[in-house]
Amino acid sequence: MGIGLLELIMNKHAPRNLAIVTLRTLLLLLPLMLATPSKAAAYADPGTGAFVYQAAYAAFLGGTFYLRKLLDRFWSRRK
Amino acid sequence: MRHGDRIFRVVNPSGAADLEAFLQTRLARDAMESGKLVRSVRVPPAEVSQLVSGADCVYEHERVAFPSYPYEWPAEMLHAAATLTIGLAMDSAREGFGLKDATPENVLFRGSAPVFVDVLSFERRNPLDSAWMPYAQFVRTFLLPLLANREFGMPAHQILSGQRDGLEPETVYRWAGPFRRLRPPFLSLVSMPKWLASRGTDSTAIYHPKPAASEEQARFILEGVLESCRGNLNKVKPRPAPSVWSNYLDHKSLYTPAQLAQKEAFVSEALAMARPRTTLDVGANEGRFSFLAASNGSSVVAVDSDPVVAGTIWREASGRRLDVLPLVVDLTRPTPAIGWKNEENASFLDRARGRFDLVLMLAVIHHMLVRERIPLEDLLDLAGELSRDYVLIEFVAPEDPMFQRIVRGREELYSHLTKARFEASATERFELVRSARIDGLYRWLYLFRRRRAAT
Repeated sequence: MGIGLLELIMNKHAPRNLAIVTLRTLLLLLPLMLATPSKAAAYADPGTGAFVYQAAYAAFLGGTFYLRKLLDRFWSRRK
Repeated sequence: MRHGDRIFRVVNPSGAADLEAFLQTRLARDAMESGKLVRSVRVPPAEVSQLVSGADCVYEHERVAFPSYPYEWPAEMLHAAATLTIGLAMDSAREGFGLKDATPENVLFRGSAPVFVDVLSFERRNPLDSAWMPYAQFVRTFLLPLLANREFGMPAHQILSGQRDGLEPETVYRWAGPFRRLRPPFLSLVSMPKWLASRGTDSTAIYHPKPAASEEQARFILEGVLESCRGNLNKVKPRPAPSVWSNYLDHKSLYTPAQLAQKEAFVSEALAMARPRTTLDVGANEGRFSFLAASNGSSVVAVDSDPVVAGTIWREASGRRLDVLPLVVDLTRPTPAIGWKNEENASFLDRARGRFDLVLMLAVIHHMLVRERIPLEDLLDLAGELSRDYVLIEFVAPEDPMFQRIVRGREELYSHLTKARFEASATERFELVRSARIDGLYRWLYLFRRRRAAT
């Protein structure tokens, strides 16, 4: 989903990237799992679906941004 | 709005400052230079009053020679327009501006090159804003029609003619079936939006996302979303595919090399004589003669009713940087005027009438005569309307094996369409400049010129 999973894993920062990848997947699934059950919408305005998806993806990216910063600090301190 | 041959746009004073700031950015200047963005300049106040009353702020745009609509483009051109749009969205984000709308109606083509024309689509971006508002529109109008084209063979231009706003994910979901729905790119473009759709209806909060915590984060998110669009765009790139026409009228199979050379020589000589600035190639097929005209310095519009073949012309024109604009148009049922009051978008004929110095109709009118049963006289009249000067027709007689093939056994209906009859009708309307037979075939080439009205 989005930016290449493979390229993350393939480069030399493998252990750190594996951590990122796992946490990213969890971060994506979490909001969806916790979301309230949908009401049976009698009228669903067309176009909302893709927009909601974009908002979810944006939220997910926001999460990975923090994560990357966090992990960067963690790994650099390790060195 | 139009004023003679010039294109002007009245801009609201509140938007004018942003527009001017945008046009001054490095991105805008480079894009105007490279032809990606239509040149736009502010009209000096002194001139404004001559053009329009009561307006303060008027911009003039460079005119694009032959406007065309997304419902006339082969899929390859829709893809090129999408690539241009996403590129501009990404570049503008770096300069503090954002693209607020992403639809193929913002793009026109000059020859085979796309140009973004709606300069007011760019707005100053709040640096903490991480949302790309036109995402859903980009998906509906570019990505999903291209996906449907690639996966289901649906002609992209037909989708956009019926629906200006493109395809909804829910519609494509129904076509996809249980296994495709889980595959990328269906998963993110079709299935997820469909599954998430019901969640958005309760409030409009989703349209006002919280600002990001930092500018850096906002940029990261925005670029991530745009990158994913670009990735998906690559996944839906049209594949070259065969069609009825891509194999049928291959010149190599219908003509011997000598016959082809004769035909090319005739057309080349006609080009040298007519020196057309603009040419219309009707039934262009693989575009051989469009390219010939373009190499002789003419701006060409190549029309063919088959989108696959039009797409092939575009690939070559784009690769060789030739001024050939391929459009999916059947001259016997040309694009109508559609939109509000059937006036919003001009019909193909309204755009084309009197615009071409030369109209080529090579081995095509017999298809129009037989398949659509257009009377010969009416066809010739139309050719005369489209051209300002010359008309070059390759006439295929009923004895020709291809003619007999398309007639499907009903020869008696078309036996009157003889060479003699053709010449008689044509010379009533045009002046014959030269003609020649293609040796060994029941095909004749004619170069006509519109009669100058006797004064």
